[in-house]
Amino acid sequence: MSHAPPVSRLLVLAAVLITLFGLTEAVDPSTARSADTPISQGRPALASSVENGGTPALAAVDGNPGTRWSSAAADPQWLQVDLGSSVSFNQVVLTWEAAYATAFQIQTSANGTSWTTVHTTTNATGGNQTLNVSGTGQYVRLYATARATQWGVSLWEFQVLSALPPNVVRVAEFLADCPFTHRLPDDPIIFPGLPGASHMHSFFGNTSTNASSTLQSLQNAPSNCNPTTDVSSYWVPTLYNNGVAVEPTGTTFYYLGEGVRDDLIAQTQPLPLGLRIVAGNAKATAPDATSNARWSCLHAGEVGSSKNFVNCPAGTMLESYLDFPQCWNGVDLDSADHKSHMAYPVAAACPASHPVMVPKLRQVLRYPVSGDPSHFALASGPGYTMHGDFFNAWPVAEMERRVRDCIRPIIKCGADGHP
Amino acid sequence: MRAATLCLALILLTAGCAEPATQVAAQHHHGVAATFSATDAGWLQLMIPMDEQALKLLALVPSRSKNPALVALAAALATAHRAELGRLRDLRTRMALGDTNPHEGHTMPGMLNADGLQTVARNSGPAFDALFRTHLKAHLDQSAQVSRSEETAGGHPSARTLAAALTKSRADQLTALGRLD
Repeated sequence: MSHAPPVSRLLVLAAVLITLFGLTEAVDPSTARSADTPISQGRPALASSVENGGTPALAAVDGNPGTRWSSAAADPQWLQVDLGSSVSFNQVVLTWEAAYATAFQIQTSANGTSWTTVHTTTNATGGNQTLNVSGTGQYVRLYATARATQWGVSLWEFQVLSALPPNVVRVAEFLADCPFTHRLPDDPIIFPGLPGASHMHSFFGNTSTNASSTLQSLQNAPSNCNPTTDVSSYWVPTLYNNGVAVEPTGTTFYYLGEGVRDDLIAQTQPLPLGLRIVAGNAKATAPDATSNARWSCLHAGEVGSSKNFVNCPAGTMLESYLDFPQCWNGVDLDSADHKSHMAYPVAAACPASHPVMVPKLRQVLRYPVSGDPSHFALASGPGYTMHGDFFNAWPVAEMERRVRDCIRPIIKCGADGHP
Repeated sequence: MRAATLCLALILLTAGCAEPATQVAAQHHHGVAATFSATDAGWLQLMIPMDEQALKLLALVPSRSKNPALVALAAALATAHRAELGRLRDLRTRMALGDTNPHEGHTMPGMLNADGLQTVARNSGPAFDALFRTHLKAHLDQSAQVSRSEETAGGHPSARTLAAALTKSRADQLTALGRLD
Protein backbone atom coordinates (compact mmCIF):
# COMPACT_ATOMS: atom_id res chain seq x y z
CA MET A 1 0.00 0.00 0.00
CA SER A 2 2.80 2.48 0.84
CA HIS A 3 3.96 2.43 -2.78
CA ALA A 4 0.53 2.88 -4.25
CA PRO A 5 0.23 5.93 -6.53
CA PRO A 6 -2.19 8.60 -5.31
CA VAL A 7 -4.95 7.71 -7.78
CA SER A 8 -5.00 4.10 -6.61
CA ARG A 9 -5.14 5.24 -3.02
CA LEU A 10 -8.11 7.45 -3.78
CA LEU A 11 -9.85 4.54 -5.45
CA VAL A 12 -9.17 2.33 -2.45
CA LEU A 13 -10.43 5.08 -0.15
CA ALA A 14 -13.54 5.48 -2.30
CA ALA A 15 -14.15 1.75 -2.18
CA VAL A 16 -13.79 1.77 1.59
CA LEU A 17 -16.20 4.70 1.89
CA ILE A 18 -18.70 3.04 -0.42
CA THR A 19 -18.47 -0.11 1.66
CA LEU A 20 -18.90 1.80 4.90
CA PHE A 21 -21.80 3.77 3.48
CA GLY A 22 -23.41 0.61 2.25
CA LEU A 23 -23.17 -0.94 5.67
CA THR A 24 -25.08 1.95 7.28
CA GLU A 25 -28.22 1.22 5.31
CA ALA A 26 -29.83 -1.10 7.84
CA VAL A 27 -32.38 1.52 8.75
CA ASP A 28 -34.28 3.98 6.59
CA PRO A 29 -32.48 7.33 7.11
CA SER A 30 -35.83 9.15 7.04
CA THR A 31 -36.68 7.64 10.42
CA ALA A 32 -33.51 8.98 12.01
CA ARG A 33 -33.99 11.89 14.38
CA SER A 34 -31.59 14.78 15.09
CA ALA A 35 -30.41 15.57 18.63
CA ASP A 36 -29.39 19.20 18.01
CA THR A 37 -32.65 20.98 18.92
CA PRO A 38 -34.70 20.63 22.11
CA ILE A 39 -36.24 17.19 22.00
CA SER A 40 -39.51 18.77 23.11
CA GLN A 41 -39.74 21.13 20.14
CA GLY A 42 -42.66 20.44 17.83
CA ARG A 43 -43.81 17.49 19.91
CA PRO A 44 -47.42 17.02 20.98
CA ALA A 45 -48.25 19.00 24.15
CA LEU A 46 -51.21 19.08 26.52
CA ALA A 47 -52.11 21.45 29.36
CA SER A 48 -54.48 21.43 32.31
CA SER A 49 -56.18 24.53 30.93
CA VAL A 50 -55.72 27.55 28.66
CA GLU A 51 -56.49 31.19 29.33
CA ASN A 52 -57.96 31.62 25.84
CA GLY A 53 -57.71 30.32 22.27
CA GLY A 54 -54.60 32.40 21.62
CA THR A 55 -52.55 30.70 24.36
CA PRO A 56 -52.55 26.97 23.54
CA ALA A 57 -50.21 24.41 25.08
CA LEU A 58 -48.45 23.90 21.75
CA ALA A 59 -47.25 27.53 21.79
CA ALA A 60 -44.79 26.59 24.57
CA VAL A 61 -43.05 23.94 22.44
CA ASP A 62 -43.17 25.58 19.00
CA GLY A 63 -39.68 27.12 19.14
CA ASN A 64 -41.23 30.57 18.66
CA PRO A 65 -40.36 32.95 21.55
CA GLY A 66 -43.22 35.28 20.57
CA THR A 67 -46.03 32.83 21.30
CA ARG A 68 -46.96 31.46 24.71
CA TRP A 69 -49.10 29.08 26.69
CA SER A 70 -51.18 30.60 29.46
CA SER A 71 -53.38 28.74 31.92
CA ALA A 72 -56.60 29.58 33.69
CA ALA A 73 -56.20 31.50 36.97
CA ALA A 74 -56.26 28.61 39.45
CA ASP A 75 -53.89 26.16 41.15
CA PRO A 76 -52.58 23.65 40.27
CA GLN A 77 -51.80 23.82 36.53
CA TRP A 78 -49.71 21.59 34.31
CA LEU A 79 -48.17 21.41 30.85
CA GLN A 80 -46.85 18.14 29.46
CA VAL A 81 -44.97 17.24 26.30
CA ASP A 82 -44.85 13.83 24.61
CA LEU A 83 -41.28 13.14 23.45
CA GLY A 84 -42.39 10.21 21.29
CA SER A 85 -40.16 7.65 22.98
CA SER A 86 -38.36 7.19 26.25
CA VAL A 87 -35.52 9.70 26.27
CA SER A 88 -32.82 10.68 28.71
CA PHE A 89 -32.59 14.43 29.29
CA ASN A 90 -30.35 16.53 31.52
CA GLN A 91 -31.74 20.04 31.19
CA VAL A 92 -35.11 21.76 31.21
CA VAL A 93 -35.33 25.42 30.17
CA LEU A 94 -38.35 27.52 31.20
CA THR A 95 -38.94 30.92 29.62
CA TRP A 96 -41.63 32.51 31.81
CA GLU A 97 -43.97 35.29 30.90
CA ALA A 98 -44.61 37.81 33.72
CA ALA A 99 -47.20 35.38 35.09
CA TYR A 100 -44.82 32.76 36.48
CA ALA A 101 -45.06 30.05 39.10
CA THR A 102 -43.32 30.31 42.45
CA ALA A 103 -43.72 26.63 43.23
CA PHE A 104 -43.58 23.85 40.69
CA GLN A 105 -42.24 20.40 39.97
CA ILE A 106 -40.68 18.82 36.89
CA GLN A 107 -42.01 15.29 36.43
CA THR A 108 -41.45 12.40 34.02
CA SER A 109 -43.63 9.52 32.97
CA ALA A 110 -43.42 6.46 30.76
CA ASN A 111 -47.14 6.44 30.01
CA GLY A 112 -48.50 9.96 30.62
CA THR A 113 -50.50 8.88 33.65
CA SER A 114 -48.17 7.95 36.50
CA TRP A 115 -45.53 10.55 37.23
CA THR A 116 -42.13 10.70 38.92
CA THR A 117 -40.93 14.03 40.30
CA VAL A 118 -37.34 14.80 39.35
CA HIS A 119 -37.18 18.46 40.47
CA THR A 120 -39.07 20.59 43.03
CA THR A 121 -38.98 24.38 43.53
CA THR A 122 -40.99 26.42 46.07
CA ASN A 123 -39.39 29.85 45.76
CA ALA A 124 -38.91 30.45 42.04
CA THR A 125 -38.61 33.98 40.70
CA GLY A 126 -39.58 33.55 37.03
CA GLY A 127 -37.62 34.88 34.06
CA ASN A 128 -35.42 32.44 32.20
CA GLN A 129 -34.80 29.35 34.28
CA THR A 130 -32.28 26.72 33.22
CA LEU A 131 -32.73 23.65 35.38
CA ASN A 132 -30.03 21.01 35.33
CA VAL A 133 -32.43 18.18 35.83
CA SER A 134 -31.77 14.62 34.75
CA GLY A 135 -34.51 12.17 33.97
CA THR A 136 -35.74 9.57 31.55
CA GLY A 137 -39.21 9.21 30.15
CA GLN A 138 -41.44 9.62 27.16
CA TYR A 139 -43.44 12.41 28.84
CA VAL A 140 -42.09 15.45 30.71
CA ARG A 141 -44.40 17.70 32.70
CA LEU A 142 -44.30 21.05 34.46
CA TYR A 143 -46.60 20.82 37.49
CA ALA A 144 -47.22 24.29 38.95
CA THR A 145 -48.70 24.50 42.45
CA ALA A 146 -48.43 28.21 43.30
CA ARG A 147 -48.81 31.28 41.08
CA ALA A 148 -46.80 34.48 41.48
CA THR A 149 -49.65 36.70 40.25
CA GLN A 150 -53.42 36.83 40.18
CA TRP A 151 -53.26 35.46 36.63
CA GLY A 152 -52.64 31.89 35.58
CA VAL A 153 -49.15 30.63 34.75
CA SER A 154 -47.65 31.36 31.35
CA LEU A 155 -44.59 30.08 29.44
CA TRP A 156 -43.11 31.48 26.23
CA GLU A 157 -41.12 28.27 25.82
CA PHE A 158 -40.80 24.92 27.61
CA GLN A 159 -37.67 23.15 26.41
CA VAL A 160 -36.39 19.67 27.26
CA LEU A 161 -32.78 19.10 26.23
CA SER A 162 -31.35 15.67 25.47
CA ALA A 163 -28.59 14.20 27.58
CA LEU A 164 -27.09 12.76 24.42
CA PRO A 165 -24.08 14.30 22.76
CA PRO A 166 -25.00 16.22 19.61
CA ASN A 167 -25.06 14.34 16.31
CA VAL A 168 -26.09 11.08 17.91
CA VAL A 169 -28.28 9.28 15.41
CA ARG A 170 -31.63 8.34 16.91
CA VAL A 171 -31.77 4.78 15.63
CA ALA A 172 -31.82 1.84 18.05
CA GLU A 173 -28.94 -0.22 16.73
CA PHE A 174 -25.70 -2.00 17.44
CA LEU A 175 -23.98 -4.52 15.22
CA ALA A 176 -21.40 -7.23 14.75
CA ASP A 177 -19.43 -7.68 11.54
CA CYS A 178 -18.68 -11.38 11.27
CA PRO A 179 -16.87 -12.63 8.14
CA PHE A 180 -17.21 -16.11 6.67
CA THR A 181 -15.36 -18.75 8.65
CA HIS A 182 -16.02 -22.19 7.16
CA ARG A 183 -18.44 -24.49 5.36
CA LEU A 184 -19.90 -27.72 6.72
CA PRO A 185 -23.01 -29.82 6.00
CA ASP A 186 -23.82 -29.40 9.71
CA ASP A 187 -26.51 -27.73 11.78
CA PRO A 188 -26.13 -27.80 15.57
CA ILE A 189 -29.69 -26.49 16.08
CA ILE A 190 -31.70 -28.64 13.68
CA PHE A 191 -29.43 -31.73 13.52
CA PRO A 192 -27.46 -31.68 16.77
CA GLY A 193 -24.72 -34.29 16.97
CA LEU A 194 -25.17 -35.39 13.37
CA PRO A 195 -22.31 -34.14 11.19
CA GLY A 196 -23.22 -34.35 7.51
CA ALA A 197 -26.97 -34.43 8.17
CA SER A 198 -27.67 -31.04 6.65
CA HIS A 199 -27.36 -29.24 3.35
CA MET A 200 -24.16 -27.19 3.09
CA HIS A 201 -23.96 -24.24 5.46
CA SER A 202 -21.68 -21.23 5.46
CA PHE A 203 -20.73 -20.21 8.99
CA PHE A 204 -19.86 -16.77 10.37
CA GLY A 205 -18.48 -15.52 13.67
CA ASN A 206 -17.51 -18.34 15.98
CA THR A 207 -14.77 -20.33 14.24
CA SER A 208 -15.58 -23.66 15.91
CA THR A 209 -19.20 -24.25 14.93
CA ASN A 210 -20.07 -27.78 13.88
CA ALA A 211 -22.82 -30.33 14.42
CA SER A 212 -21.77 -30.88 18.04
CA SER A 213 -21.57 -27.23 19.08
CA THR A 214 -23.10 -26.29 22.41
CA LEU A 215 -23.25 -22.99 24.26
CA GLN A 216 -20.23 -24.09 26.27
CA SER A 217 -18.19 -25.08 23.22
CA LEU A 218 -18.97 -21.74 21.55
CA GLN A 219 -18.02 -19.80 24.68
CA ASN A 220 -14.63 -21.55 24.69
CA ALA A 221 -13.81 -20.84 21.04
CA PRO A 222 -12.65 -17.70 19.24
CA SER A 223 -14.70 -15.53 16.91
CA ASN A 224 -13.74 -13.52 13.86
CA CYS A 225 -16.44 -10.95 14.57
CA ASN A 226 -15.86 -7.29 15.13
CA PRO A 227 -16.28 -7.16 18.09
CA THR A 228 -14.38 -10.34 18.93
CA THR A 229 -16.33 -10.45 22.19
CA ASP A 230 -19.28 -11.75 20.16
CA VAL A 231 -18.60 -15.48 20.02
CA SER A 232 -22.10 -16.21 18.73
CA SER A 233 -22.52 -18.41 15.70
CA TYR A 234 -24.43 -17.40 12.57
CA TRP A 235 -25.04 -19.60 9.54
CA VAL A 236 -26.91 -19.69 6.22
CA PRO A 237 -27.25 -22.12 3.30
CA THR A 238 -24.27 -21.85 0.98
CA LEU A 239 -24.83 -19.90 -2.25
CA TYR A 240 -23.62 -21.53 -5.47
CA ASN A 241 -22.92 -19.74 -8.76
CA ASN A 242 -22.83 -22.30 -11.57
CA GLY A 243 -22.21 -24.93 -8.92
CA VAL A 244 -19.27 -23.08 -7.35
CA ALA A 245 -19.64 -21.95 -3.74
CA VAL A 246 -19.62 -18.16 -3.28
CA GLU A 247 -19.19 -16.61 0.14
CA PRO A 248 -20.47 -13.14 1.06
CA THR A 249 -17.87 -10.41 1.51
CA GLY A 250 -20.27 -8.11 3.38
CA THR A 251 -21.47 -9.87 6.53
CA THR A 252 -23.18 -7.56 9.00
CA PHE A 253 -25.46 -8.70 11.78
CA TYR A 254 -27.49 -5.74 13.03
CA TYR A 255 -29.32 -5.74 16.34
CA LEU A 256 -32.21 -3.31 16.10
CA GLY A 257 -34.98 -1.81 18.17
CA GLU A 258 -37.68 -1.46 15.55
CA GLY A 259 -40.90 -3.07 14.48
CA VAL A 260 -42.59 -2.16 17.76
CA ARG A 261 -43.73 1.14 19.29
CA ASP A 262 -41.05 3.42 20.72
CA ASP A 263 -42.36 3.00 24.27
CA LEU A 264 -41.90 -0.76 23.85
CA ILE A 265 -38.38 -0.33 22.47
CA ALA A 266 -37.58 1.22 25.86
CA GLN A 267 -38.54 -2.13 27.44
CA THR A 268 -36.26 -4.26 25.24
CA GLN A 269 -34.59 -7.09 27.13
CA PRO A 270 -31.17 -8.57 26.29
CA LEU A 271 -31.14 -11.67 24.09
CA PRO A 272 -30.79 -14.48 26.63
CA LEU A 273 -27.53 -16.40 26.61
CA GLY A 274 -27.87 -19.64 24.66
CA LEU A 275 -30.97 -18.54 22.73
CA ARG A 276 -31.30 -20.20 19.34
CA ILE A 277 -33.32 -18.53 16.58
CA VAL A 278 -34.08 -19.70 13.06
CA ALA A 279 -35.49 -17.25 10.50
CA GLY A 280 -36.66 -17.73 6.94
CA ASN A 281 -37.99 -20.96 5.50
CA ALA A 282 -35.58 -23.60 4.17
CA LYS A 283 -38.58 -25.62 2.94
CA ALA A 284 -40.37 -22.82 1.06
CA THR A 285 -41.73 -24.10 -2.24
CA ALA A 286 -42.65 -20.71 -3.69
CA PRO A 287 -41.80 -17.03 -3.11
CA ASP A 288 -44.89 -16.70 -0.93
CA ALA A 289 -45.79 -15.59 2.59
CA THR A 290 -44.00 -18.58 4.11
CA SER A 291 -40.69 -17.00 3.13
CA ASN A 292 -39.46 -13.69 4.55
CA ALA A 293 -35.90 -13.28 3.23
CA ARG A 294 -35.38 -10.51 0.67
CA TRP A 295 -32.88 -10.26 -2.18
CA SER A 296 -31.75 -6.96 -3.67
CA CYS A 297 -28.69 -5.30 -5.21
CA LEU A 298 -26.12 -3.21 -3.36
CA HIS A 299 -25.83 0.20 -5.12
CA ALA A 300 -28.65 -0.64 -7.53
CA GLY A 301 -31.76 0.14 -5.50
CA GLU A 302 -33.78 0.54 -8.70
CA VAL A 303 -33.78 -3.25 -9.09
CA GLY A 304 -36.02 -3.47 -6.05
CA SER A 305 -36.28 -6.36 -3.64
CA SER A 306 -37.70 -9.83 -4.13
CA LYS A 307 -38.15 -13.06 -2.23
CA ASN A 308 -36.20 -14.76 -5.01
CA PHE A 309 -32.81 -13.94 -6.56
CA VAL A 310 -32.70 -10.69 -8.54
CA ASN A 311 -30.66 -9.74 -11.60
CA CYS A 312 -28.07 -7.23 -10.38
CA PRO A 313 -26.28 -4.94 -12.86
CA ALA A 314 -22.61 -5.66 -13.52
CA GLY A 315 -20.42 -4.07 -10.86
CA THR A 316 -23.05 -4.31 -8.12
CA MET A 317 -23.49 -7.06 -5.54
CA LEU A 318 -26.32 -9.43 -4.79
CA GLU A 319 -27.48 -8.85 -1.23
CA SER A 320 -29.74 -10.74 1.15
CA TYR A 321 -31.71 -9.24 4.04
CA LEU A 322 -33.27 -11.43 6.70
CA ASP A 323 -35.07 -10.24 9.84
CA PHE A 324 -35.22 -12.64 12.78
CA PRO A 325 -38.26 -12.76 15.10
CA GLN A 326 -37.84 -10.46 18.10
CA CYS A 327 -40.58 -11.55 20.52
CA TRP A 328 -39.52 -14.26 22.95
CA ASN A 329 -41.82 -16.45 25.07
CA GLY A 330 -39.60 -15.64 28.04
CA VAL A 331 -39.00 -19.29 28.92
CA ASP A 332 -37.44 -21.48 26.24
CA LEU A 333 -34.03 -21.06 24.60
CA ASP A 334 -35.20 -23.34 21.77
CA SER A 335 -38.30 -25.35 20.87
CA ALA A 336 -39.08 -28.64 19.15
CA ASP A 337 -39.74 -26.94 15.82
CA HIS A 338 -37.01 -24.36 16.61
CA LYS A 339 -39.52 -21.59 15.86
CA SER A 340 -42.40 -21.56 18.32
CA HIS A 341 -40.44 -20.03 21.21
CA MET A 342 -40.10 -16.87 19.09
CA ALA A 343 -42.61 -14.72 17.21
CA TYR A 344 -42.79 -11.62 15.07
CA PRO A 345 -44.56 -8.52 16.42
CA VAL A 346 -48.25 -8.00 15.74
CA ALA A 347 -49.57 -4.44 15.41
CA ALA A 348 -46.21 -2.99 16.53
CA ALA A 349 -46.18 -4.93 19.79
CA CYS A 350 -45.09 -8.35 20.98
CA PRO A 351 -48.07 -10.73 21.31
CA ALA A 352 -49.18 -11.96 24.75
CA SER A 353 -47.87 -15.45 23.93
CA HIS A 354 -44.35 -14.03 23.34
CA PRO A 355 -44.30 -10.96 25.56
CA VAL A 356 -40.55 -10.33 25.84
CA MET A 357 -39.17 -7.87 23.30
CA VAL A 358 -35.52 -8.60 22.45
CA PRO A 359 -33.32 -6.90 19.84
CA LYS A 360 -34.27 -7.77 16.27
CA LEU A 361 -31.42 -9.49 14.48
CA ARG A 362 -31.13 -8.33 10.88
CA GLN A 363 -28.71 -10.36 8.79
CA VAL A 364 -27.32 -8.46 5.79
CA LEU A 365 -25.09 -10.47 3.46
CA ARG A 366 -23.45 -9.11 0.30
CA TYR A 367 -22.29 -11.62 -2.29
CA PRO A 368 -19.71 -10.75 -4.96
CA VAL A 369 -21.95 -11.94 -7.79
CA SER A 370 -24.29 -10.20 -10.22
CA GLY A 371 -26.17 -10.91 -13.41
CA ASP A 372 -28.47 -13.71 -14.52
CA PRO A 373 -29.93 -15.28 -11.38
CA SER A 374 -30.59 -18.59 -13.17
CA HIS A 375 -26.94 -19.39 -12.37
CA PHE A 376 -27.55 -19.08 -8.63
CA ALA A 377 -28.76 -21.73 -6.21
CA LEU A 378 -28.73 -22.13 -2.47
CA ALA A 379 -27.82 -25.44 -0.86
CA SER A 380 -31.46 -25.38 0.27
CA GLY A 381 -32.84 -24.62 -3.20
CA PRO A 382 -34.13 -21.42 -4.86
CA GLY A 383 -33.59 -17.92 -3.46
CA TYR A 384 -36.81 -17.99 -1.43
CA THR A 385 -35.44 -20.86 0.68
CA MET A 386 -32.91 -18.42 2.19
CA HIS A 387 -32.79 -18.79 5.95
CA GLY A 388 -30.54 -17.99 8.84
CA ASP A 389 -29.61 -19.61 12.13
CA PHE A 390 -28.36 -17.78 15.21
CA PHE A 391 -26.90 -19.29 18.37
CA ASN A 392 -26.46 -16.51 20.94
CA ALA A 393 -23.18 -16.66 22.83
CA TRP A 394 -22.66 -12.93 23.48
CA PRO A 395 -21.25 -12.45 26.98
CA VAL A 396 -24.20 -11.44 29.15
CA ALA A 397 -22.66 -8.15 30.28
CA GLU A 398 -21.76 -7.10 26.73
CA MET A 399 -25.27 -7.82 25.47
CA GLU A 400 -26.84 -6.01 28.45
CA ARG A 401 -24.69 -2.93 27.98
CA ARG A 402 -25.62 -2.61 24.32
CA VAL A 403 -29.33 -3.03 25.00
CA ARG A 404 -29.13 -0.43 27.79
CA ASP A 405 -26.98 2.11 25.91
CA CYS A 406 -28.11 1.65 22.29
CA ILE A 407 -31.48 -0.04 21.96
CA ARG A 408 -33.60 1.30 24.83
CA PRO A 409 -32.52 4.97 24.46
CA ILE A 410 -32.68 4.65 20.62
CA ILE A 411 -29.05 5.42 19.83
CA LYS A 412 -27.10 4.20 16.82
CA CYS A 413 -24.03 2.37 18.09
CA GLY A 414 -21.20 0.70 16.24
CA ALA A 415 -19.56 -2.67 16.70
CA ASP A 416 -18.06 -1.47 20.00
CA GLY A 417 -21.52 -0.76 21.40
CA HIS A 418 -20.91 3.00 21.61
CA PRO A 419 -22.36 5.83 19.49
CA MET B 1 -23.96 -61.98 20.13
CA ARG B 2 -24.35 -64.74 17.55
CA ALA B 3 -28.04 -64.03 17.25
CA ALA B 4 -27.38 -60.34 16.65
CA THR B 5 -24.80 -61.10 13.99
CA LEU B 6 -27.14 -63.46 12.23
CA CYS B 7 -29.89 -60.89 12.42
CA LEU B 8 -27.64 -58.19 10.94
CA ALA B 9 -26.60 -60.53 8.15
CA LEU B 10 -30.26 -60.99 7.40
CA ILE B 11 -30.79 -57.21 7.34
CA LEU B 12 -28.33 -57.00 4.48
CA LEU B 13 -30.09 -59.44 2.24
CA THR B 14 -33.63 -60.04 3.50
CA ALA B 15 -36.54 -58.46 5.25
CA GLY B 16 -34.64 -58.22 8.54
CA CYS B 17 -35.45 -58.51 12.20
CA ALA B 18 -37.88 -57.28 14.78
CA GLU B 19 -36.54 -54.86 17.37
CA PRO B 20 -34.90 -56.88 20.16
CA ALA B 21 -37.19 -57.10 23.17
CA THR B 22 -34.18 -56.85 25.47
CA GLN B 23 -33.97 -53.10 24.76
CA VAL B 24 -37.31 -52.38 26.39
CA ALA B 25 -36.43 -54.60 29.34
CA ALA B 26 -33.11 -52.82 29.78
CA GLN B 27 -34.90 -49.50 30.09
CA HIS B 28 -37.12 -50.83 32.84
CA HIS B 29 -34.15 -52.26 34.70
CA HIS B 30 -32.43 -48.90 34.73
CA GLY B 31 -35.60 -47.02 35.63
CA VAL B 32 -34.95 -44.38 32.95
CA ALA B 33 -37.87 -43.06 30.96
CA ALA B 34 -36.38 -42.97 27.47
CA THR B 35 -37.46 -40.12 25.25
CA PHE B 36 -36.81 -39.37 21.63
CA SER B 37 -34.42 -36.50 21.02
CA ALA B 38 -34.00 -33.92 18.28
CA THR B 39 -30.99 -35.92 17.14
CA ASP B 40 -33.13 -39.06 16.81
CA ALA B 41 -35.65 -37.13 14.73
CA GLY B 42 -32.95 -35.52 12.58
CA TRP B 43 -31.30 -38.87 11.91
CA LEU B 44 -34.56 -40.66 11.12
CA GLN B 45 -35.90 -37.92 8.88
CA LEU B 46 -32.67 -38.01 6.91
CA MET B 47 -32.31 -41.80 6.64
CA ILE B 48 -35.82 -42.18 5.22
CA PRO B 49 -35.40 -39.84 2.23
CA MET B 50 -31.85 -41.15 1.70
CA ASP B 51 -33.14 -44.71 1.43
CA GLU B 52 -36.01 -43.61 -0.77
CA GLN B 53 -33.61 -41.91 -3.18
CA ALA B 54 -31.21 -44.86 -3.05
CA LEU B 55 -34.07 -47.18 -4.05
CA LYS B 56 -34.75 -45.00 -7.09
CA LEU B 57 -31.08 -45.22 -8.00
CA LEU B 58 -31.01 -49.00 -7.49
CA ALA B 59 -34.11 -49.37 -9.66
CA LEU B 60 -32.18 -48.00 -12.65
CA VAL B 61 -29.67 -50.85 -12.64
CA PRO B 62 -31.49 -53.81 -14.29
CA SER B 63 -32.31 -51.87 -17.46
CA ARG B 64 -29.01 -50.03 -17.79
CA SER B 65 -26.17 -52.23 -16.54
CA LYS B 66 -24.73 -55.17 -18.45
CA ASN B 67 -22.68 -56.33 -15.47
CA PRO B 68 -24.43 -59.37 -13.87
CA ALA B 69 -22.54 -58.99 -10.60
CA LEU B 70 -23.61 -55.36 -10.31
CA VAL B 71 -27.21 -56.23 -11.17
CA ALA B 72 -27.21 -58.94 -8.48
CA LEU B 73 -25.74 -56.62 -5.88
CA ALA B 74 -28.27 -53.91 -6.71
CA ALA B 75 -31.12 -56.41 -6.30
CA ALA B 76 -29.84 -57.49 -2.88
CA LEU B 77 -29.32 -53.89 -1.81
CA ALA B 78 -32.82 -52.94 -2.95
CA THR B 79 -34.31 -55.73 -0.85
CA ALA B 80 -32.25 -54.70 2.16
CA HIS B 81 -33.11 -51.03 1.73
CA ARG B 82 -36.83 -51.77 1.47
CA ALA B 83 -36.66 -53.71 4.71
CA GLU B 84 -34.63 -51.01 6.37
CA LEU B 85 -37.06 -48.37 5.18
CA GLY B 86 -39.92 -50.32 6.73
CA ARG B 87 -38.19 -50.31 10.13
CA LEU B 88 -37.33 -46.62 9.82
CA ARG B 89 -40.94 -45.77 8.99
CA ASP B 90 -42.21 -47.87 11.89
CA LEU B 91 -39.97 -45.91 14.21
CA ARG B 92 -41.17 -42.68 12.67
CA THR B 93 -44.73 -43.71 13.52
CA ARG B 94 -43.70 -44.51 17.11
CA MET B 95 -42.08 -41.09 17.34
CA ALA B 96 -45.26 -39.46 15.97
CA LEU B 97 -43.25 -37.65 13.33
CA GLY B 98 -45.11 -36.59 10.20
CA ASP B 99 -44.36 -37.96 6.77
CA THR B 100 -42.33 -34.90 5.84
CA ASN B 101 -38.87 -34.57 4.35
CA PRO B 102 -37.09 -31.62 5.95
CA HIS B 103 -34.48 -31.82 3.18
CA GLU B 104 -36.91 -31.60 0.25
CA GLY B 105 -35.30 -29.61 -2.54
CA HIS B 106 -31.97 -29.30 -0.73
CA THR B 107 -28.59 -30.33 -2.07
CA MET B 108 -27.57 -33.00 0.40
CA PRO B 109 -24.27 -34.81 0.73
CA GLY B 110 -24.59 -38.42 -0.43
CA MET B 111 -28.11 -37.98 -1.75
CA LEU B 112 -29.06 -37.63 -5.40
CA ASN B 113 -31.74 -35.05 -6.17
CA ALA B 114 -34.22 -35.47 -9.01
CA ASP B 115 -31.93 -33.77 -11.53
CA GLY B 116 -28.98 -35.91 -10.54
CA LEU B 117 -31.05 -39.04 -10.82
CA GLN B 118 -32.13 -38.05 -14.35
CA THR B 119 -28.52 -37.51 -15.34
CA VAL B 120 -27.58 -40.98 -14.16
CA ALA B 121 -30.61 -42.45 -15.92
CA ARG B 122 -29.51 -41.04 -19.28
CA ASN B 123 -26.46 -43.35 -19.23
CA SER B 124 -26.08 -47.07 -19.82
CA GLY B 125 -23.41 -49.77 -19.95
CA PRO B 126 -20.00 -49.06 -18.39
CA ALA B 127 -20.65 -45.30 -18.21
CA PHE B 128 -23.77 -45.96 -16.17
CA ASP B 129 -21.95 -48.50 -13.99
CA ALA B 130 -19.26 -45.95 -13.08
CA LEU B 131 -21.77 -43.21 -12.26
CA PHE B 132 -23.97 -45.60 -10.34
CA ARG B 133 -21.09 -46.94 -8.24
CA THR B 134 -19.93 -43.40 -7.38
CA HIS B 135 -23.36 -42.34 -6.21
CA LEU B 136 -24.08 -45.60 -4.43
CA LYS B 137 -20.80 -45.38 -2.52
CA ALA B 138 -21.58 -41.77 -1.57
CA HIS B 139 -24.97 -42.88 -0.27
CA LEU B 140 -23.56 -45.80 1.71
CA ASP B 141 -20.72 -43.70 3.16
CA GLN B 142 -22.92 -40.77 4.11
CA SER B 143 -25.72 -42.81 5.68
CA ALA B 144 -23.10 -44.79 7.61
CA GLN B 145 -21.43 -41.62 8.88
CA VAL B 146 -24.67 -40.04 10.07
CA SER B 147 -25.79 -43.31 11.66
CA ARG B 148 -22.49 -43.64 13.52
CA SER B 149 -23.16 -40.17 14.95
CA GLU B 150 -26.67 -41.23 15.96
CA GLU B 151 -25.23 -44.22 17.81
CA THR B 152 -23.27 -41.88 20.08
CA ALA B 153 -25.30 -38.64 20.04
CA GLY B 154 -28.81 -40.07 19.76
CA GLY B 155 -31.31 -40.20 22.59
CA HIS B 156 -33.73 -43.13 22.53
CA PRO B 157 -32.32 -46.69 22.65
CA SER B 158 -34.66 -47.81 19.86
CA ALA B 159 -33.26 -45.22 17.51
CA ARG B 160 -29.66 -45.83 18.53
CA THR B 161 -30.05 -49.58 18.13
CA LEU B 162 -31.51 -49.19 14.66
CA ALA B 163 -28.67 -46.79 13.82
CA ALA B 164 -26.13 -49.37 14.97
CA ALA B 165 -27.78 -52.01 12.79
CA LEU B 166 -27.74 -49.64 9.85
CA THR B 167 -24.05 -48.82 10.39
CA LYS B 168 -23.22 -52.51 10.41
CA SER B 169 -25.27 -53.12 7.25
CA ARG B 170 -23.45 -50.30 5.51
CA ALA B 171 -20.05 -51.75 6.38
CA ASP B 172 -21.10 -55.08 4.85
CA GLN B 173 -22.65 -53.37 1.84
CA LEU B 174 -19.54 -51.29 1.21
CA THR B 175 -17.46 -54.44 1.40
CA ALA B 176 -19.73 -56.11 -1.14
CA LEU B 177 -19.47 -53.09 -3.41
CA GLY B 178 -15.68 -53.11 -3.09
CA ARG B 179 -15.54 -56.77 -4.15
CA LEU B 180 -16.76 -55.74 -7.59
CA ASP B 181 -13.44 -53.98 -8.27
